[in-house]
Amino acid sequence: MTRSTDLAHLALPSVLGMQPELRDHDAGLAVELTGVTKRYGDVRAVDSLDLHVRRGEVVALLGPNGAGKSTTFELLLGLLRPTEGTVQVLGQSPGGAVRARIGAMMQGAGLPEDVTVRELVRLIGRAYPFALDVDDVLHRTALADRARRTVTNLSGGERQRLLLAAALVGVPELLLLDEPTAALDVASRRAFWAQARASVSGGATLLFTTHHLDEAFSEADRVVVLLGGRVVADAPPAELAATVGDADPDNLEDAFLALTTGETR
Amino acid sequence: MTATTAARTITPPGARRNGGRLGLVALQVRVDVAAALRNTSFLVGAVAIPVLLYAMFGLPNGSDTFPEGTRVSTLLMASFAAYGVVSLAVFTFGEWVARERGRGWTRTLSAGPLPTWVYLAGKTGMAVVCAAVVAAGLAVIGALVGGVRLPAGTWAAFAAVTVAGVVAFSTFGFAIAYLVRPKAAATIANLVFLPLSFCSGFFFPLSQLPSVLQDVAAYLPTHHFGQLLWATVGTPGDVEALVGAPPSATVVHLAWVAGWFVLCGTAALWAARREAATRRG
Repeated sequence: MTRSTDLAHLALPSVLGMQPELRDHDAGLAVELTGVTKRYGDVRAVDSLDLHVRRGEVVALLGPNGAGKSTTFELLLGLLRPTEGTVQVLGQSPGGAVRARIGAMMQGAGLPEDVTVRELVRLIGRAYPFALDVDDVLHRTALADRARRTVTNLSGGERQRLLLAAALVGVPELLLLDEPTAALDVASRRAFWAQARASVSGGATLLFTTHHLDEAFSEADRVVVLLGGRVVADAPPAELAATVGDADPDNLEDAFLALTTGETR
Repeated sequence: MTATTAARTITPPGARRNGGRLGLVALQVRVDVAAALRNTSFLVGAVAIPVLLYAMFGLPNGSDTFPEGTRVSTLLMASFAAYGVVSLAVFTFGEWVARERGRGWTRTLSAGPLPTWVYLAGKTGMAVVCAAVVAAGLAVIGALVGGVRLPAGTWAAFAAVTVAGVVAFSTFGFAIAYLVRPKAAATIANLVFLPLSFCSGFFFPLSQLPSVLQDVAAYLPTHHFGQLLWATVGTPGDVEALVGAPPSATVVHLAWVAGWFVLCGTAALWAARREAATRRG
C-alpha cells in the first residue's frame, strides 16, 4: 500500500466552514457572478457569465482550454477586474479582507525559494484569522515527512499537496481549486479528493476546475460547463449526462463533448 | 437568496485564533532569515564578501594613519560596511524579490491573505539581521586584526548607522525588483551595484581616483551614506583626506539618503501598482 493510498483513509476533521449559523447550505451565496464579461481587446475570455454557488455546495467548473475557467477564478480572487458585471465572494467584493476567508490553489502558483514546507504552511496559516495545527495539516496531506524539505526540492505531486495544505490551513469558508490534480497520479488524485471532500463536509464551499471528468462526476454536487466564456450547461452530474441526446447517460465525457463540440458517440 | 457577508467570529473546531499582525511580521522575518541561511550563494555574496574584501584591501595597510590620526583600517571598515549595505539592498530587495516575482510568488500572495507589505517587511527584517552580521564581522576583524579601537558608543553608532542604511536603501532594491523584468534583474543589479560601489569610494579612497569620480560621487546617495559612516568612525579632516573633498554637513548627507529612499519608494510603488493594474485589466 502506498503512502498516497494510506492518505485516502485519513479524514481531516470536518472543520472547514464549520460555523454553526452558516452550516445550512441555503444560508447564502458563496459566489455570485452576475453578467460578468472580461474582455482583452476583442477577445472575451468571459462573456456575460452568470454563476451562483450556494454556501456548502461543491461545484465543478468544466470546459475546454480557453473556456474562461481560470479567468473566472482570477475574477473571484480579485486578480482581475471584470470589464462588465458584478462579482461578489462571500457577499463581499473580491480581494481585500475577503481573501482571509478563501483558500485558493491557482494553476502554476508561484512559491518562494529556500523556504521549507512547514515554514510556508505555518506562515500562510498565520495570515488567516484562524489556523489549523500545521503538523496535523501536513500529516493529512501526506507531507509530514517532507516538512523540512524546501519548496524547490518537491516533486510535482508534493507541490500540489503543499498548495492544498496551504489552501486548507486557514480554515477557509470557500475553497477555489484551479485544476488541483493536474500533476497527480491516480492514487494521489483519489487521496487528494478524499481530503478535499472531508474538508468541505463541515459546510465550506468548494469550486474547482478540472479536465478529469470523472472527478467532476464523482466529487461535485453540480457541474457547470463553460464554452467561450459562457455557461452552456449547469446541472448535477447525472442529470447533465442524461440530458445529452443519445449519449450514454453514465458517460460524462460524452456529455461534455456533446456540449462543447456537438459531437456524440 | 441573500449573501452572507459576515466573517466568522467563532473559532472553528480544531483551529486556533491567530494574533495580530506583529506576530505575522515576526514569523515572516524568521522564515526569511532561515531561507537566507539556506542560500549559500546569497550568504557568501551579501554577508561574507564585504568582510573578505575588508580583510584583503582594508587590512594590509591598516596600521597607516590619516593626518588626524584615524587608522586606515578604521575608515576602510566603514567603507566596506557601506559596501555591504548597498549589496544587501540591491541583492536582497532587488534580485531576490525580482526572482520571487518572476516565479509568481508575489502574484500568489496577492490572491491570499498574506499582505504584500508583510512579505516586504520580512525581507527588510532579514536584511537588517544580515547587516548586523556584516557590521559585527567587520568589527571583529577590524578590532582583532586591524587594530581598530573605538569607544563603545562609536561602535554602537557604527552598527546603528550600518543597520539603518539597509532600511534606507531597501526601497532602492524594491525599485529594481519592480521596475525591471525579473529575468533581467540579476544583470541589472550587478550593472548597478559594482559601478555604484566603485564611484562611491567604497573600494578605493576617492582621493586616489581621478577627480571626475569625486565629482560624480557628490551626486550618489550611496556616497552620502558612506559619508555618514565615515563620519561615525573618523574625524572630518581624515574623512576629507579619504574622499578628497571636505565633507558636507551631516544633514546634507541625510537629506540625500532620505530623498533617495523616498524617490525609490515612490518608483517601486508606482511600478508595483502599474503591474497590478495591468494584470487586473
